[in-house]
Amino acid sequence: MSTPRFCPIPAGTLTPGLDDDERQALQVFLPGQDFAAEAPRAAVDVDAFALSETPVTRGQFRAFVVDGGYANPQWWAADQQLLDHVGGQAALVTQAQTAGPRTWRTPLGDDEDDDLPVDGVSWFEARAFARFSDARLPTAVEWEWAARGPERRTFPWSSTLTMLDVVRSGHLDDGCVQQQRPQAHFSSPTLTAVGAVKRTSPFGVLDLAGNVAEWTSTAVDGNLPGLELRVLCGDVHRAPLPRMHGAAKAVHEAHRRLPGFGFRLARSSG
Amino acid sequence: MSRIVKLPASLRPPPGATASKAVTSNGKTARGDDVRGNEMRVTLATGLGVEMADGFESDGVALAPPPLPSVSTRGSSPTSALNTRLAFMAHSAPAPLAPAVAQLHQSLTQHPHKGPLVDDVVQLPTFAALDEAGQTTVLTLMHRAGLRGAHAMHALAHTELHGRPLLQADGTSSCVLRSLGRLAQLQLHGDMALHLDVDMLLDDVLGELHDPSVICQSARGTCAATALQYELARAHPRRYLRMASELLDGGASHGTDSNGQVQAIGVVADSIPMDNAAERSAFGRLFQSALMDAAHTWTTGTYSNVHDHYVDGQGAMTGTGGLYDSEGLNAASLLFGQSNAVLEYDVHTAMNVFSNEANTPMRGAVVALNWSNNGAGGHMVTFSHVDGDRVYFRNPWGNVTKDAPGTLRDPPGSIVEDDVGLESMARADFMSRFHHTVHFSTDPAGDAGMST
Repeated sequence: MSTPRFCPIPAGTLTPGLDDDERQALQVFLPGQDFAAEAPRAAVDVDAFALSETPVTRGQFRAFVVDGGYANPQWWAADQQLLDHVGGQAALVTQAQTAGPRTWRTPLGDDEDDDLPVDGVSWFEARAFARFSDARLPTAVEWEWAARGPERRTFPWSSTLTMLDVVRSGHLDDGCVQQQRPQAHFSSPTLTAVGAVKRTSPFGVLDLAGNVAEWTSTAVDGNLPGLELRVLCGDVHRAPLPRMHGAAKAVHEAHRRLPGFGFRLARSSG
Repeated sequence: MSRIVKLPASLRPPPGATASKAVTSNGKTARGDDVRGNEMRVTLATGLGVEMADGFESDGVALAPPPLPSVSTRGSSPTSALNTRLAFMAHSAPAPLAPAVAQLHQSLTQHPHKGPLVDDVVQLPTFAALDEAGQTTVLTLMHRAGLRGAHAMHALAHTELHGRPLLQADGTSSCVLRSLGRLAQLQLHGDMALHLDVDMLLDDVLGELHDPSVICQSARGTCAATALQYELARAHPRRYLRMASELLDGGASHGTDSNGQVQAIGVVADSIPMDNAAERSAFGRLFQSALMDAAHTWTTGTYSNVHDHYVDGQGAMTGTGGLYDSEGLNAASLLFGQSNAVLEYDVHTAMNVFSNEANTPMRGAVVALNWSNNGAGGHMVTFSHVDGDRVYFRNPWGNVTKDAPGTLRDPPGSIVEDDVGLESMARADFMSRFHHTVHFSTDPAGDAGMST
């Protein structure tokens, strides 16, 4: 199994979210969206940490499956009670009804390229794999800091996105006549092998935009007892290019195992 | 607005309590600022209800939260089809459950969060009056749904439709229970099984039925379909349930189009995977896409959720996105019946109808407005009511506020209740922006061509 390569991320201060100028600029491309989930928040200090260069791959995750990771309570104990409320490990099966990611058609997921990011996993599986790998999930703030850096890039690979970029990427159509607005289109119909697209973040991290949406450790108050919500950063491969900014976030229930939901690993420094 | 909420005995504040917190039906926290006996005054958005009183405070010191069962209410609009009995139905000594139902109940009571909700439901006279199949349906739904759906089902079990408990609203025809039963047994196949979860869909359908204010279009040009979806859930919950069960279980529902032809309303394939319209529910994505596709007549092609346009067999775009005037009429016909759907362009006639609709609760309307201040672009909203010089409408953006320059967040529009998407506009402004409206009957008995 290939092991994830980690990029050192220095300490710094991040103002999470998109400021008004950024939101207005993105609304040129996505006028239907208000980016409410990415509203600006107060500046926060981020400690130095390390982040895996790419999302965890199918090949890497297979090692966990082969090792019996789904049945090893060592990796699940901290979250077992929460997981039991939503069906326990019995619900975490492949399409072959064996323990593993939902998107795998075969028990070992060898129906697709090993270098594709693993997807169709819940937050619980991401956490268990992180423990198995002697790592953890990044927080949403850490993820955004790694994507945007001290220069506070709007996108992991750039601070700007012009109409020309969007048109060249084939993600803009001829406009919606009735609505009189441009309409962005989705970027890629399928997942891409990790690291294949060299959109490098300020700290050398790859795939922070537009491959899998990535689970983080950050929780959100669900306003209902027992409703476990976690933040996903980034956006899935089908999302339009302007959605792939460094502050992209969504909130889903921790047991949700949708195609396009993946994760990467973090390690604290020192 | 402030609303007096009567609390059941189990939720009454302890002596000396001066305030209470409550979770509203859209999941946000409201504060009860005046507790007297078994009542508290809560400041709520229009259309919102109290989902759960979760704690009481006395002199700023939080006291132990009371146990469930929760209080649930529904919108206070006089035209709301569903209304929760604020004064809780008296719990009687529960009749013995059939063995299979008792076993299901027993397994659900093990769940730390669903258990108290289920315990409350099985004690309701409404539940006791159901036959074994009906009881099994209710408990199976609470079992298979997620927490949001279980809370919604609990609330719906306390809900009345036209003066009768929702679960018994059909008398012997049991349309509600048939639809709920179909949802309770829902199995997903193919792409639906890969990209969707049963618990997620049940949460969506039950949650939207209980609180239609969560319905929104998010980042899609489906305003007309969304405005009609909201109206269907609000005014015609039985048909909403039936359509949901048919769409999810069989892949298609049906309706009568504006030409009087029965037409399928089927799932659009590319609306099945998750998209970037993140605020919209998965069921909303399926429903709106299906209606956009079924109502489309202007050009060739089928609706694509990915492109938010109509596309031909090769994926090339044809025509535009959105629905034209006659297509909006078509969509309303498909949902509410053909014979009562009327397209109206004359603003004075429309305003007269609107004024009368306050006294005609079985009528609904969606209105197309010139939305942007420069006159380009249209938007369809659900008409709510006229009050003095103000016209109130529900924006299908829902509780997802938009603040883009040129929208009605600028004058003359104003937000009334942001949480539910209710907005208002001065009558003169509304009339100057008026483009057309589609009136329709929401009376389930009003159209012979439409079954509930």
